[in-house]
Amino acid sequence: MSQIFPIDTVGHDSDVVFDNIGMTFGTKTGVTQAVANVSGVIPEGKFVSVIGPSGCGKSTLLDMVGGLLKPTKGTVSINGETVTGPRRDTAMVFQEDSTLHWRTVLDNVAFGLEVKGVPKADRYESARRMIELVGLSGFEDHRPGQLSGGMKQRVAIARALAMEPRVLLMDEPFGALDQQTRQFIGRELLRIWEKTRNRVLFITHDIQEAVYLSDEVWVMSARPSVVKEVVTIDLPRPRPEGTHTLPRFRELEDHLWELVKVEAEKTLGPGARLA
Amino acid sequence: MSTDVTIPSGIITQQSADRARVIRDNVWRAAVLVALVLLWALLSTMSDLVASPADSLNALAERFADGSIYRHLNATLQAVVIGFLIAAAVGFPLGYAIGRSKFLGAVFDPLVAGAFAIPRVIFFPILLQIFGVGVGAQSAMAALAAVFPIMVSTTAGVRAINPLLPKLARSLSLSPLQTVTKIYIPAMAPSLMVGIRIGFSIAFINVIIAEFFAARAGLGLLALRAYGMLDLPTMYGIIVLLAAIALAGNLVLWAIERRLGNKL
Amino acid sequence: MVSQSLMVPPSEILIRLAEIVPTDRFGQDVARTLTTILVSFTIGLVLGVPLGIFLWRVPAAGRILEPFIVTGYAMPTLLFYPVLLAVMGLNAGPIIVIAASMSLIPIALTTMVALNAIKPILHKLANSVSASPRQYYLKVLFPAATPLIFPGVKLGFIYAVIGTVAMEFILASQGVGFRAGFYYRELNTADMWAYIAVVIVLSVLVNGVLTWLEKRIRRDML
Repeated sequence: MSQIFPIDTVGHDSDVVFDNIGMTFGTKTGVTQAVANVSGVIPEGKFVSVIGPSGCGKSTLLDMVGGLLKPTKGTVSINGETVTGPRRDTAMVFQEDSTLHWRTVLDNVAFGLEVKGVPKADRYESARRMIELVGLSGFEDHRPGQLSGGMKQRVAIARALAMEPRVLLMDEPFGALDQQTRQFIGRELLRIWEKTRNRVLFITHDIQEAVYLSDEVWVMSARPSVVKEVVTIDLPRPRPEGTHTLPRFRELEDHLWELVKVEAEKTLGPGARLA
Repeated sequence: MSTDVTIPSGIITQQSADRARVIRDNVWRAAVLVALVLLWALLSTMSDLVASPADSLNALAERFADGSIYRHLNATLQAVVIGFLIAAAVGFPLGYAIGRSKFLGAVFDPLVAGAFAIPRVIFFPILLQIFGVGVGAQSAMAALAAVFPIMVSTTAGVRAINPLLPKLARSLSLSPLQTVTKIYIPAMAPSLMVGIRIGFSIAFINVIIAEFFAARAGLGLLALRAYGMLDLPTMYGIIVLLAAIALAGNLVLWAIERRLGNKL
Repeated sequence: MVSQSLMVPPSEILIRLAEIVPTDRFGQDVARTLTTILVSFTIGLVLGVPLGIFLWRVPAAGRILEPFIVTGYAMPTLLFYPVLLAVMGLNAGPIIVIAASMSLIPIALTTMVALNAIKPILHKLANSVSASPRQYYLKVLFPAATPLIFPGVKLGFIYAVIGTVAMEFILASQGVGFRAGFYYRELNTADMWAYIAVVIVLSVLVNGVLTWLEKRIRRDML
C-alpha cells in the first residue's frame, strides 16, 4: 500500500524528477529552511497529489517545478533537462483567481498561447476546444466578472490545458471554492484528465480530494519538510460518483489522515487537535 | 514546540530597524531639499533672471527688518484663515447632509463634480465687484474654492462609514448628538483631515492667485509687484516664504492625518 | 450693496456672446487656450506615467519623495508663476510649465497606487507562461491598471484646464481666461460675464466627456 522513501530517483527521461532538492529562504528575521530534502518522480500519465500541514513547503515544491523558484540544493528536471526558469511545457493553475478581468473567456484561455506567439486562428481553435472540454461552451464572449468562482477556475484550467503541457501544476486550485462546487469541479477535473492524461502535480489540503483524484499521494512532513511517505492509490479508474463510499477509499483516507495528523501536531504544538 | 528553524531575533531589532529606516528616509528627504537649493544656486550663476538664494533670503530678511512685510503677511494669512473657516462652516455640514441623504446625494453629486472642474478663480472679478478690492474679496475667493473639496471628502467619509456603526449606536440607545460626536466624527476623522488639508491648501493657493490679480495688500501682490519692478531678489524671497508656509502647513496637517489613519 | 454694473441681464450676456463668438479674436483665444491645455496635459501624461512607474518600482524613492509630492499635489507650482514669467517671458511657456506640473502629479500618484493594487497572482501567472517583460507590461500590467489609473488621468486633465485658465487670468496676452480678467479691468462687465460663461461651458464639457469616457473604460475593463 505504501512505500518508504528514498525511492529510486532514476526515472525515465520524460519524467519529472526531483533530485535531493532543498529550499532555504533568507527572511528579515533570519534564515528559514522550508524544504529539507525531497526526492521523487512523477511518471508519465500519473496524477500525483501532495498533502501536508500548512507551511510545509508544498507550494514551494510546485513553484520549483514551474521554474518560479530555484531550489537552493539539488535539481528538478523535466524530460532530462534541469529546470532553470519557467518552461513552455509546464502550465500552472493557482488557488487565487488568476483570470484577466478585461479579457473575454476566449482570450483568457488563449492567453498562454498568445504569449507563446501562436497565430490567432490556431490559438482560438485550441482555446475553443479547451473551453468545450471544461464545459464552458457558450461563455466564450463573457468576461470573468460575469462568472462564478468555479467557472473562473475552469477558465484557468482551460488556459493551462491549452498550452498542452507535459506537466500540469495545480496549487490548491479549488481551495477558494465552497464545498459543493469543489466536489463538482473535482469530478469534472477527473473527467477532463481521463481524456488528456497529462502528468499532474496537485497540491491540496483536502485528503478526500487527494485520494479521489490521484494515482499517488505524497505526504510531506512539517518544516523543514521531507516526503514522509508515498501512498499509492490503487482504486480502479475511471472513478464514478460512488467511489467515496468504497471501503478501500475509507482505508486510504484514514491512513493518510493519521500521517498528516502527526505532522500537523508537530506544527501546532503538543496536544493540538484539528477539528 | 515549533519545528521552524528560524533563527530568532527579537522584536527589538525589528523596531530599531524600522526606526533606522525612518531616519534614513528623513536624511534623504533633507538631501533632496539641499539638492533643490543647490540647483537653484547653480541656475542663478547661469542666468541674470534668477536671483541667488543668498540674495533672495537677504532681500526677504530686509523686508522683515524694516517691518514692511507684516502688513502683507497679515493680509494673506487673514484671508486664508477667514476663507477656510467659512468653507469649513459651510462644507462640513453640507457634505455630511449630502452623504447621509440619498435624495440630496442624487441632486448635488453631479453639481459638485461639475463645479470641481471649473477654474474657480474665474469668479474672482465678480467677488471683487461685490466686496471691493481687499481682504474681503480674497477671503470670499478662498471660501468659494475650498468649500468643494471639503464637501467632497466629507461626503466620501460619511459614505465610507461601516454600516454596522449606526446600528451599534441605536442598540446602545445613543442620543442623536452622541451618535454624531461619539460615532460619526471619530469614524470619519481621517477623511475629515483630508478635507481640512486639501481645503487649507486650496484656500491658500486661491488667495495667492487672487492677490496676483488684484489686492491692496498680500504676499502675492508683493511678489508680482517685485516682478513688475524687476526686483528679482525680493520676488524670489517672497516665493520661498510662500512655499515654506505651504510646505510647513501641509506637512503638519499631513502628519496629523497619517497619525489618525494609523490609529483607526 | 450689489452695484448696478455687476448685474448684467442674462439676455445681454447672450447677445454679447452671439456677437463675440464669430469674431476672429474669439477663435484665436479659444485655440490658444485649448492648445495650451492639450500641450500641458500631454506633457503631464508623458512624464506622469513613467514617474508613477518609477515610484512603484523603487518603493524607497516613493517613500522619500512622498511628502514633496503630496505637498506639490495640494500646493501646485503656480506659486512660481512670477519666477517663470521672469525667466521665460510673457508667453504660453510659463503657463504650460505650471499647468503640466499640476497635471502630472495626480497622474503619477494614481499610476503608482494602481500598480501597487495589482494582484501579485497576475505577476506569477505572467511568469509561469514565460511572458517577456514587454509582454508582461503590455498584456497584463497596463490593461489591469488602466481603469484604476483613469481617474488620475481625468483629474490631471481637469488640473491642466484649471492651471491654464487661472494663469491666463492672472497675466497673459491671449486666451479665454485672460479675456475674462481683461474685461474686468476694462470695466466691460457684459463681456467679462460672456467670457466667464465660455470658461464654465468649456469646463463642464470637458468634465462631461471625461466622465463618459471613465464610465466606458470601467464597463469595458473592470
